[in-house]
Amino acid sequence: MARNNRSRVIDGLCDEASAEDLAVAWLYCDFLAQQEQTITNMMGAILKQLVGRGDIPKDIRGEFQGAKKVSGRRPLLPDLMRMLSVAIASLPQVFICIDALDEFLPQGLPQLLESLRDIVRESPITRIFLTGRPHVKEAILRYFTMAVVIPISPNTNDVRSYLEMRLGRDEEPGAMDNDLRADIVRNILEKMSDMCVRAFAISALGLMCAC
Amino acid sequence: MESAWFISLRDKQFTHTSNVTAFPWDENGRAVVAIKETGFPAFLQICPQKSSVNSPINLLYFSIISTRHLNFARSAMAHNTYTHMVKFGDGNINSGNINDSFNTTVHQSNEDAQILSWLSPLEPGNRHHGVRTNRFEGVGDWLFGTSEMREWRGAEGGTDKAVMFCSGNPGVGKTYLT
Repeated sequence: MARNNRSRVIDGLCDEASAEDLAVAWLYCDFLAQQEQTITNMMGAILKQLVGRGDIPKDIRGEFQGAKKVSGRRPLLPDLMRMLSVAIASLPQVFICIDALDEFLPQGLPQLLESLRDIVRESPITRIFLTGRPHVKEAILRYFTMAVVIPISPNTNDVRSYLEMRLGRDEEPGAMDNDLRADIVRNILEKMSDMCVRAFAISALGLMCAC
Repeated sequence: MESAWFISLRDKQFTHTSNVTAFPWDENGRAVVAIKETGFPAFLQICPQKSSVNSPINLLYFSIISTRHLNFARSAMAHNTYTHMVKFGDGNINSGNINDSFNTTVHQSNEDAQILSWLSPLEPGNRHHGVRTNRFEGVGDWLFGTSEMREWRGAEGGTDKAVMFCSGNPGVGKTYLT
């Protein structure tokens, strides 16, 4: 399995974007960054990704210059929603991807979802891709009753391919035989739990970074 | 310091005296330059291995071209044999550089950079690069093959089907799907 510089949905969409002129914005929520990941900053980050790829729309430039005159006041949520609406309307289709919604400040989550719903109501072809732990599903369904929910579980094929790749790089191939190789793969797959996969992924990343 | 700059894109050479703006980039001497007098702004990145920036006549080789001028970028890249280098990371905002969703370097004018940073201080592109770098080929391909994905992607469902939510416990790989 070759190392790849891609992250699936965002880059899959970006590949299409270069061909079809779709616009993709993404956000990663993080427990450690909850203070700066306010609803306003999140919406602003979506907007800056949408407008940062071309010429900045006149209305945004105007708002900025106006704010500059008033001691550089940062845009408020209603300002950003208004600018987002104009920016999205000028693009053929917009995709918004938000990872780890469960790590977003819980008190702010309803307002974040409400803002996303406002975007979709204004532009029904906008697509939103969310990930998170199962407990945020209820909140999402309150705002998007027809949301498509896909449970993700450890994919044994992914893990098996990775193990085979690592075993293939064994520094002492003489000490390995087919039986031992099969035992290792079988044992790891059998004992795999969600948390085990997490540890596995972390160590795997560490190993790969060291390569 | 004023000096002559020869900018080589294999079949074309542009000579510049003072109208090349170079922004310091990183410890490897990578930089982005904006050339104003060619009639189009060219946003390129210097390949330090091939360039001799300390000689009186500077021969600069470039590798990255802005997507904001796609036609020029495509034609220049077609004639350009130099290594493709991409630099990500924080710390470039002050020089007005941002990384866009196509992972090429885009030089923004000072005001453009100020506007983007005024809109939000968050830089999600940097985190995305970390995720991209650590992902393995094939992971998540199954998701693209599902009918749910196709239906969501197709946007025929309008507002009702606007959201796809992938849920899972910690460590199952949600981020790498994103």
